[in-house]
Amino acid sequence: MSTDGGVEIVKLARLVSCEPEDLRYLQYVAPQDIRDLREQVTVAVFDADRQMLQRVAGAAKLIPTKLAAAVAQQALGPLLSARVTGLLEPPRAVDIAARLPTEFLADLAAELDPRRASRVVAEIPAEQIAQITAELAERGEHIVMGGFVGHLPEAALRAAVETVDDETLLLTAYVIDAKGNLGALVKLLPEERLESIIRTAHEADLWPEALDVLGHVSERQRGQLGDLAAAQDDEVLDGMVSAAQRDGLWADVLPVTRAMNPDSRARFAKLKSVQTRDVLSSIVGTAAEQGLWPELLELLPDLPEEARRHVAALGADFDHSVFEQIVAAAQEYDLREALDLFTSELEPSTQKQIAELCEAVEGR
Amino acid sequence: MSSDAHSALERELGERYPDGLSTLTDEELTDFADRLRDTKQHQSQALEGAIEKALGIVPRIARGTVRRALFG
Repeated sequence: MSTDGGVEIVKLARLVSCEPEDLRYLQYVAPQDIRDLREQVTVAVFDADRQMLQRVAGAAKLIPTKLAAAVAQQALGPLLSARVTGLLEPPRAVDIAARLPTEFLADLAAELDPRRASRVVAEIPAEQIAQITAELAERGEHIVMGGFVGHLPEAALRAAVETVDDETLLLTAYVIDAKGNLGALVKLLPEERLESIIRTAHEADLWPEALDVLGHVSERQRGQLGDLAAAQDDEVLDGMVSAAQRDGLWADVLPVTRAMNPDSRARFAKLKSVQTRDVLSSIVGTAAEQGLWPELLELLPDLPEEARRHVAALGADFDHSVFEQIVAAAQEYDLREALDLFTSELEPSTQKQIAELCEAVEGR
Repeated sequence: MSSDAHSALERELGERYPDGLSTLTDEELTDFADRLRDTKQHQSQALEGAIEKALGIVPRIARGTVRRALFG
């Protein structure tokens, strides 16, 4: 099951008050379908009591804020309070929240669908968001926190990020509800924090999570993070190589090496851990499976000669169609020198085949 | 998939479920429909109980106004 699918099942299980294992039959359903189902369930559960929930929200306007907070905590509880939250006027909801203990608000956050209360969520003061975040982090509620990222204004998001440790931040980023928001999250972090997170990825063996995040940020951010990683000790980079090899993550690593600056890429390519036959085989295999030829060609000139020769040996048996893809990638991304380097290690007959392909591509 | 299991889930959802769920067996569709129905029932019961409790918390002087807002 994919991570996205697993996260969606956890969220759906919470909505229908059961354990994720009870819904294990959903593990082969596409994450987007589970997400769509969750949206339908959210609406169905809300609609079942819509009229009464709206009346509760209306009644809350008629009583003092302090009393409304007491009713929320002592009568409604976190689940029903979460249902009512999105129906309240944001300033009123914020005033009520200001009178509720952090533990209760953390319980409420765990039941809230932020998409249905985003105006309220956006107006909660940054300091209170930080307190709730600290409580959720203490409970290990990464999925809950991940659901709020896209709904918090910058000040609140910054306060939340400063509250949690690197490991929590990585685990939350990994299960964030809308991966498109990862770029905004990374943008908030100063360079020292990003370096610290990279070291944590190594020390806590969270490379799969870190590399997944790298796959969802902009090319520029991927390059920036890749450069910061390349500036770490060999031990850190070797950890990334080892995790990529162990968990089959080369499709995540190769785009990072391509986005790095040339010095960083050269440093990566010179690592002893990269030059082993097993690792090179995995890299070439992944490039072939995923069509990551620009990534491989970009890396190739920085590999020591022996490693380059091994890459060429692995490519010697490629089909004509694969060579076509490689030549097309070299042409499209202006990597002709790297292609020549690769070709020079091949048998003369294969060199001729590639030269003909190059001529055909250039003649178009 | 039987039309019973299919329609039980659609009845609870109030609309057609995502196509990806068509790989589920009748038992699995029924299981999910049952869970959704139970969730809605529990929520309605909890809401009823919470409203009674809330009226007990609201001071007597405001109780009539709040009760009218809740029950018309």
